[in-house]
Amino acid sequence: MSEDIITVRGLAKSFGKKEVVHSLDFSVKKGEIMAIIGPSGAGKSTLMRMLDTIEPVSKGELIIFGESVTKQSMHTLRGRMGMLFQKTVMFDRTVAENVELGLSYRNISKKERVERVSEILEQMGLSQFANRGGRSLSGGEGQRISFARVLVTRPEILFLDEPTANLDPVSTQVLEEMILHENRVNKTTIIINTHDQAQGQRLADRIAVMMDGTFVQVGPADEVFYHPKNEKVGKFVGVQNIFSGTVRNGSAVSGGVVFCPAPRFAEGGIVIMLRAEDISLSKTGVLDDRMSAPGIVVSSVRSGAFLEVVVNAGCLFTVIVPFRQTGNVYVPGERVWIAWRLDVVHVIPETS
Amino acid sequence: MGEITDGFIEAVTLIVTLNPEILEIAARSLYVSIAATLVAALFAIPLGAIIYYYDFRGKRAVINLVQTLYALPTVIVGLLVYLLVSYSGPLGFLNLLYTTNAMIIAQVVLVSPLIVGFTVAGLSGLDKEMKYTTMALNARAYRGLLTLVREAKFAILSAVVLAFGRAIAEVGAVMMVGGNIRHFTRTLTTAITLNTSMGEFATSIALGIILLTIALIVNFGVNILQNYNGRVKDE
Repeated sequence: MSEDIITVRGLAKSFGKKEVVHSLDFSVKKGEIMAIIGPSGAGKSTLMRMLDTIEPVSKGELIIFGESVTKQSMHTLRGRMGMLFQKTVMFDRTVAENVELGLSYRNISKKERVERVSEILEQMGLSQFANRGGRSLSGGEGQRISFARVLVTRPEILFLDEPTANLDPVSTQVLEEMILHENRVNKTTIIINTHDQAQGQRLADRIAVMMDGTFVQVGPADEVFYHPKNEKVGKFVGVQNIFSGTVRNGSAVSGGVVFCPAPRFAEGGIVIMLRAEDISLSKTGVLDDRMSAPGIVVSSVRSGAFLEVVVNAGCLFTVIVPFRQTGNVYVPGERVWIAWRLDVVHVIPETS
Repeated sequence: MGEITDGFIEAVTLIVTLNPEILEIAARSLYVSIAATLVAALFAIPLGAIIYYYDFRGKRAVINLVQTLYALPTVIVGLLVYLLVSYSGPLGFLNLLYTTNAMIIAQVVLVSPLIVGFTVAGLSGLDKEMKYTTMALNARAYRGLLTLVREAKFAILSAVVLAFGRAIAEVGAVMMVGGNIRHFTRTLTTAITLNTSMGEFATSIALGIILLTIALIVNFGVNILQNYNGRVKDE
């Protein structure tokens, strides 16, 4: 886990005069799963294509497998990597012939091609599709076959560009399991792009948040999710309670609510973040947590297995609680108490 | 009116009795245009594929130029090829003027832009992820292009058929470089021009019917191919 398999120095990409990826520096360790999360149009896909050497680099250096990517080395290096795209690509031929493609590009003998294709389809539980037309598959099936087409070439690094963005939840889960399996069994280094922050959390050892062509924050999933570097990252990783506040008498305060002690901050503007699921809600007012505040229910909306309750306690708090059939109903206008532990509050200076 | 009806009846007679001269002219027309289309396709499809595949400075301008050449006037092509193959021209030593080979050259020049342009368009109609996939699977450029051309085969084939349609229907270029010499370089279109100016309407109509039939078959072929193309995309 210690060896850097990809190193990027000052990597940038421009289309015409517009720079879409700005001078990136980072490295990826062998065997790691790194997720690049960020909104659409952040430059994630362009970055991926550059890393897979199918998109020319405008500026900077790219070192893969310890070797600098040049026109001469590109083809050999690319042969040890694979990439899966958001849009499923199926060529107008049978599934087996689709899966075989990368092997025939590598001039591997027909006999070995046939063996490896049937082996991979077998392993992935896709054998029944072998003789079907590539274009006759459903979205989920097509994407799994596309994944098989990449894996059959035995890549050491896999680039997955929004691989589940067009799939239904069940197909997404199946593909995610295949991705994790590939990483665990074959120790394949995986870099995955996703605009789904939860997917990043499910799969990745490390997350890079990419916005407007740069990495805003890179770190372990928990760090990114619970300690977002700024308000934009916070919003993107799903922090629903973000308030601008001040430090008063050594405490973080906003809208008259005291959130937590903030001894490390000078008096002045701060941003306070609190995840909706870290807040507890009670009708009785007796709560164990350290900080609490009384409030009035503004709205309560059911979303699947959860209730999303908005409470006015000086600031508008969004609270997520499990929905119970036996009825934990919150009616607008009802008086409630909200509470949270001190350590779940994330405070940053306003300027960052 | 009588002249036209009589001409029409005589024309049908000429066709059903398999008049040797009419057949010879029709066969020559087919030979010249099929040969020209095949030769053009042989280099225009790869050229179109290369233009599509690589990003280079001025690519847009090249594509615009090719598209402008779709409407290349046939007489201009005739003039160009005439100057090229005439006895004092750069290819004069090959003695091509007034031969079917000169006519083939002229039609190749005429229809190549069409095939180049429609090949670029057909390939550009594929999802860009398709090209990325061939690249990511580590295909050398020519292998990747073969895969992609195969995917766009219906679009490209219909371009070839269209090119054949333009070739067989044109008169200006073949007239100028072929000379409309009986038994040597006379084609359907040049024969119609000549016979009409001589008042031989029956022959003109007979040749016209044949030409029209070929055009209909071509059009039918294009329609089938484009339908097929549409179906493949929808799946």
